[in-house]
Amino acid sequence: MVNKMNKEEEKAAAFITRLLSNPSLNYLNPLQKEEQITTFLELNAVQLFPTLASPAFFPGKTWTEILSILQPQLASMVDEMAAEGIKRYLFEKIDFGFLSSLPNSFPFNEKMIQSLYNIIIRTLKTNSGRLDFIGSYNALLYKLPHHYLDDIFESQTYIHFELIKVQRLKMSKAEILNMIRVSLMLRSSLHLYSEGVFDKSSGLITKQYAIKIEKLLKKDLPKIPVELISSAVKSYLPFEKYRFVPTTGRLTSIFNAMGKSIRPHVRVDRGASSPEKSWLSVSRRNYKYYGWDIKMLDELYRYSLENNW
Amino acid sequence: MNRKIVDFFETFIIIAILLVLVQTFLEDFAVLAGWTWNSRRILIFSGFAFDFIFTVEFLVRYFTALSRGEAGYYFLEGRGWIDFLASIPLLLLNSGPAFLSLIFGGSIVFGLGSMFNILKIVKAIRIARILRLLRILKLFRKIKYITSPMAQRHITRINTLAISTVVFTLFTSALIVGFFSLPSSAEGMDQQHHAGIESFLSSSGGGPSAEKARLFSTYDPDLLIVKRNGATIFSRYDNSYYNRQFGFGDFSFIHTNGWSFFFNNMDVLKVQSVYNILFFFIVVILVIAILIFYSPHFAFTITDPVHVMERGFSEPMYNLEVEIPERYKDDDIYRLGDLYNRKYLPLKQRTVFEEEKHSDLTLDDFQDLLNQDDDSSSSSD
Repeated sequence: MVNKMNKEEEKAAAFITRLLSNPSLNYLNPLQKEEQITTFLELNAVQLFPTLASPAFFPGKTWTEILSILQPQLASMVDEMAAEGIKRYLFEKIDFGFLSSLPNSFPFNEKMIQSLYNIIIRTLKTNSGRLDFIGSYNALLYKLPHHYLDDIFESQTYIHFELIKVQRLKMSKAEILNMIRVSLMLRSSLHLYSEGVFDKSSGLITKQYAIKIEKLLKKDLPKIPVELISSAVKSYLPFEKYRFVPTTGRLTSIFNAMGKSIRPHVRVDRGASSPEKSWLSVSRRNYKYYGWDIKMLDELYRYSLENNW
Repeated sequence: MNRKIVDFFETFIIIAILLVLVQTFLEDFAVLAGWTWNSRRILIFSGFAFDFIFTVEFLVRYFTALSRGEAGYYFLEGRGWIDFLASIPLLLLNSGPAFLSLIFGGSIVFGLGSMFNILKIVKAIRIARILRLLRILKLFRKIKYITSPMAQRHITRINTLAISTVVFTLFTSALIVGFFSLPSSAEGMDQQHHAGIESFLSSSGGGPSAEKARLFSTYDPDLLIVKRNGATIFSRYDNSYYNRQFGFGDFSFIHTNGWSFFFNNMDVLKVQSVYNILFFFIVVILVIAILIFYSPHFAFTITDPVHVMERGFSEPMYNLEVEIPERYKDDDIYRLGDLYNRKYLPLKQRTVFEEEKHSDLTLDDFQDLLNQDDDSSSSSD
């Protein structure tokens, strides 16, 4: 029985590896690859079933049984790849020195990073958290906060004012960048406590709910400053209604959504605007629906226009 | 018909079109550059071969279309009229008579004995050569860099219109000049020769000498040879020069009262060649201008925005805006693009993730796996 399971797992692993290594998925992050493969299996069940039910794969199994073998295998392989990437960001790329600039912060230590890592990995076990994390993951991969922050600090207009004067971050550009990066990674943790309870289409929550989640998250991450947790959780609040949403939270929300949609490696057709410029332009028209700060979108759009991003 | 044969046939015709354009240019250039008759004779043979090939091509296409009951469609919509005009009239009026003259030593067409008639025929033949330029149009069936059928149709149509307008304007104006006896340089030359002969004969008195013929040759630089009763009394060049440089149509002769006068037509032919080369370049430059300037403009301002919108409508994950150039923003297509950007894309952003499932993976990527199943089942059978 054990042997049979192992053989099936091996076959599933070989099949999933084959799917994951398809060149059309090359530019996607592991979570997006998983999403694409799941959809592929769903859309092509009829055509794939005869092959997957053949002696070469899983003879005698129904489609549901085949999926129950493939999906855990897919999730496990994707988890491994995603965890590796997350670890690299948390333990190597992000400098947590910015935490000391936040009020009431604890002295920084490795355990804090480990606790962040654990909660992100737990988040990835939830379906909605996994989906939401795709945007943050891409935003980090495509370095969205990085290149926009350069322009924000260079022009020192609205967003800079909001970061420095309104949110009162006494940090350097690099430190703010790292805060936004962690805020992006932490954002999806909301789904640990609230799967399926908020507006799925816009992804927005209410103030009361945000406060509740902040408390729960704080309990799980006692050493992480509340400002950082607040930035991550309040990124789900509509700015039109709640003007107190921290600037880093507003940026987190925008970069997460941008990361979900844009594909910077896609060939831009002649006659089409660049991906980021298109996304920001369209999002300026949907700012109320998604609760984004229109002035922030306008400024980011201006940078994408100037840089032809 | 086998696809490979069709492809070979199409490629052969394209190469033939390009070669015939070079050949057309060289035929006139050879006259201007004073190429030897042997070289020009090769060009006449090759011209005949090309016209013959294109005539066969037209007939094959026409009768194939006829057998399918699509002859009318081929002739009008399929631009069979271009195939026709650029083949049969040329074979009958241009290269055919020239080829026959080469075979029969010029007696078929040019043995008429009258310089006026020769010039008229030469002119008619040369006018027909303009029709060769229409063959360029056939190249536009093969435009590949503009993939949209709409762009291909528009570019081809504007090229057809422009080139046929130029060719037919030149053709009809040349016909009007030729057939309504409007003054032309060739006929002026003809009258000058006749006047010279009259003066020569009247001043000869007891009989003109070689010296008087030489005087006539200084008066008329086109005079090549003067003969009386078959005996040469004056020749500007030696026979080897005539054999090397002159072919039919390059000279004319007038026979009167036992006297024969041979005149050089090369100057008239050179003027005609200058015009032909000029027309040739007008058409070629027109075609290049349309290809270089108009085609990209059409693509940028029509097909590109349409393509972007089409992808946006059909592909769930495609959400790029139509780039709207400031100076064309009032164009209908960009007004539509603006609506697409302002209305459709924001709506799509809100709904696409919930409504449509999409995967970049396709079954084609895994055909080997799917076929593996077929193979195993067929082997088990």
